[in-house]
Amino acid sequence: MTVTREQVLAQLYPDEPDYEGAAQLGPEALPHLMQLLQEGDPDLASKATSLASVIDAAESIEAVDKAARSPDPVIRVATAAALGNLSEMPDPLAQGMLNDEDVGVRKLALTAAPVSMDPYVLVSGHETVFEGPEIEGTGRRRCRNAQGGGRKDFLGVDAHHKALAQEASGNGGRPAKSDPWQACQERGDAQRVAARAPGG
Amino acid sequence: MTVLHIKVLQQPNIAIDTMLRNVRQVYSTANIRVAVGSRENLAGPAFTAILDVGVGPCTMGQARTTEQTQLFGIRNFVGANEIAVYFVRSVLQNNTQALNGCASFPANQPSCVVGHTASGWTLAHEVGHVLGLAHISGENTNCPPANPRCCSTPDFTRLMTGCGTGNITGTPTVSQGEINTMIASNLTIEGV
Repeated sequence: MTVTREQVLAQLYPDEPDYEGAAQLGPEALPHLMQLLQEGDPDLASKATSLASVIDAAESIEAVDKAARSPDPVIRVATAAALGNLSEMPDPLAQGMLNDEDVGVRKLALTAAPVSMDPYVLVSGHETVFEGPEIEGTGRRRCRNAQGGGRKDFLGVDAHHKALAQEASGNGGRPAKSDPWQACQERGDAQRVAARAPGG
Repeated sequence: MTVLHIKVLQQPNIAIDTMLRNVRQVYSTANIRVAVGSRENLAGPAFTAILDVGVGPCTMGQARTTEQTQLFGIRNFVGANEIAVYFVRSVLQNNTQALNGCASFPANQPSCVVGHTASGWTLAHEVGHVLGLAHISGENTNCPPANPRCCSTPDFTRLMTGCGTGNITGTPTVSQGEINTMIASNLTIEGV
């Protein structure tokens, strides 16, 4: 089926687009969505990245990745949100969004990142991802979900072994500073201490 | 008369005064006066968490999202039967898809949310939803079952087009039936 630019635009013009219906245009819509991203109109580019992600074809990642590099935070927010529609989320893409300078982008990327995702993707951006009151709720939810089990449950077996290797290789036997599970534990401890503090 | 309370977390691309002028222009054709009850600037770090608003599926009667609960709780100066309008950066359906606005609101907190990239007519359109209007029919002729809102026959002369208020040129119209619905709304006070 040949998809025209006009057909794609007709799906993106609505104030409240029907993305699931529009996704029936299929992967043939993606070149037009890429072009709209290139043109950079914030309204159409934001919706283009949303639609590309709902289409969720192999080429969708290219479109979302392009949108992730937009200088416009409105487009990057839409992109971070769109990550949640992708059945596969490349680690560099997620990591880039988790490290974005805009806290709204980081928050949505954190929400979109599946729990099953290799937590080491979170590592380099971990401190910024969880920083600030705006994002603490999202961070706390991830920590709370993680704290039901041990680090092995949180990290998964492979990453658990990776963490052990890191500890053994020069951290003086301590968990790696960037270990997200450890950071969750420390955050939990800090919150408990704060809760016990007089007047706290 | 309908009373709007403007709460600004982020200025939209189109000036709010332009949007208000458009609201008044189209609602005057229905003999409904639109008053601005208050304007409040909610910019700053305290509001960063609700700058990008997840609106769930954006349907009436849905469960409130975390952001909606927080946002709609900010009702300084908003009286009963008055509408709070929140200008935010992003409006996100199911936290994953960009919208220009959303008029889903909980009972007793009539509200709508308008995003940064909204068109000059989005505010009037969303307020129309709050007053009980649906999208017009007849814009989706012969759409395939899998894409029932394909906008094959859009009507950009109407405020409640479901195919994009950004394409409206001139002053859009509201039908007599739509006027009746708006006037019947408990949010249209003092009748006309």
